Amino acid sequence: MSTAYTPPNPNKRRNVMIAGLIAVVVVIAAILILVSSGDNSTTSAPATNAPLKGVKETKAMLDGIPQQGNTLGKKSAPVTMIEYADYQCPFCRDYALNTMPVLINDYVRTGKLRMEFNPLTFIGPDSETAARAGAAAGQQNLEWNYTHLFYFNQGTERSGYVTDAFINKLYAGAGVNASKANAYRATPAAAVPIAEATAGAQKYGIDSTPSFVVGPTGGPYTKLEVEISNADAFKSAFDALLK
Amino acid sequence: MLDRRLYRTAIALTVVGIAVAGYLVYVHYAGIQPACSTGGCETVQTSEWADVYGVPVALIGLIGYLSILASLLALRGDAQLFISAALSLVGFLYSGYLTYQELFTIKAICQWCVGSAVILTLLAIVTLWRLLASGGAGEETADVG
Repeated sequence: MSTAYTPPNPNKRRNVMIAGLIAVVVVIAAILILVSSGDNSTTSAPATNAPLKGVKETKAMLDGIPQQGNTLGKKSAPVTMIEYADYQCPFCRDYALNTMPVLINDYVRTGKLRMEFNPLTFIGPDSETAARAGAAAGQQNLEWNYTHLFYFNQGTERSGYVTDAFINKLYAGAGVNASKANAYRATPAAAVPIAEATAGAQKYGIDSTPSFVVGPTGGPYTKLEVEISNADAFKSAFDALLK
Repeated sequence: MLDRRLYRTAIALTVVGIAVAGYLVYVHYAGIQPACSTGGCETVQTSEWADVYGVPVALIGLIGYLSILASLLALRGDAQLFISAALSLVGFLYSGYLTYQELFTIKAICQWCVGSAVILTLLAIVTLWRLLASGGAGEETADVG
């Protein structure tokens, strides 16, 4: 009785290799998907990892309105309102997201009002980092886009969430050239608006944020005592100056 | 003849993929916005799916395309067929996942990302076709004893 050697079927072997390849591919793709879902990251602050909020809203609010440095609106606007705010302050956020869009739409977009943003930094180091980054965005005339996006994505006070990664995300959302802005915010010039805001706050007796002074463009300005959620109170003050 | 055509198609698709991913890597590191007709590019770019532990997805894509090109140019025989198909299939599945996130979670479309997903889908089809059509030609056969 003879024994015959049966050679391995090359097609069968190849099919096994292809099946193996597909299994390996599925495993690698699954690993990539798992690590990119973002849910398992513990290295960054939550605000850094979260998707950026408010990009569409910010664009819709500001598109087509001229900006220069820290000002928003036409130079020829007869009335100017100067805001003193801290990037970390939750009330500043509430005003920016709820009341300010109405004022921008009704008064700034129509050329009646010009707004100026002055950053105070009394809450902590994150406020200064944020304000310097805002000044850098202002160099590209996008400070208002950056600031509004910041408020949309504001984190917990003094939690250290204002990291380079967080700022770069805001810059990307605001359309700021990040490499130029990051270079600028490291320079002493980026701290000048903070010093000017601090001097202005002393001049007008401002001790809380957000606070506002208003007047005919070029001054004199007087402190505006209004409830920040009351858009009508702001409007009344503007209308009185526009008469 | 067919294999030659599929091979050239795969090379051409990979070169286009490198151009798309290279552009996205460039705009990421230059800090500028990509030319975007869909209006959703910055939303997608700043979402949590835009990077993997700090590495931009565009850079992962560029490395993937370069690896596929390298496998097509530097390898021969079955190694070329298997590795180019494996890399293309990984890219296809991953870009499919990212496109799903764009459509149903982020709810914004980045035309460059969708373009890359289409390229990877075509690459997966072409490289898998080459692999299946080759049918083991050139495999070693055992001697009958």
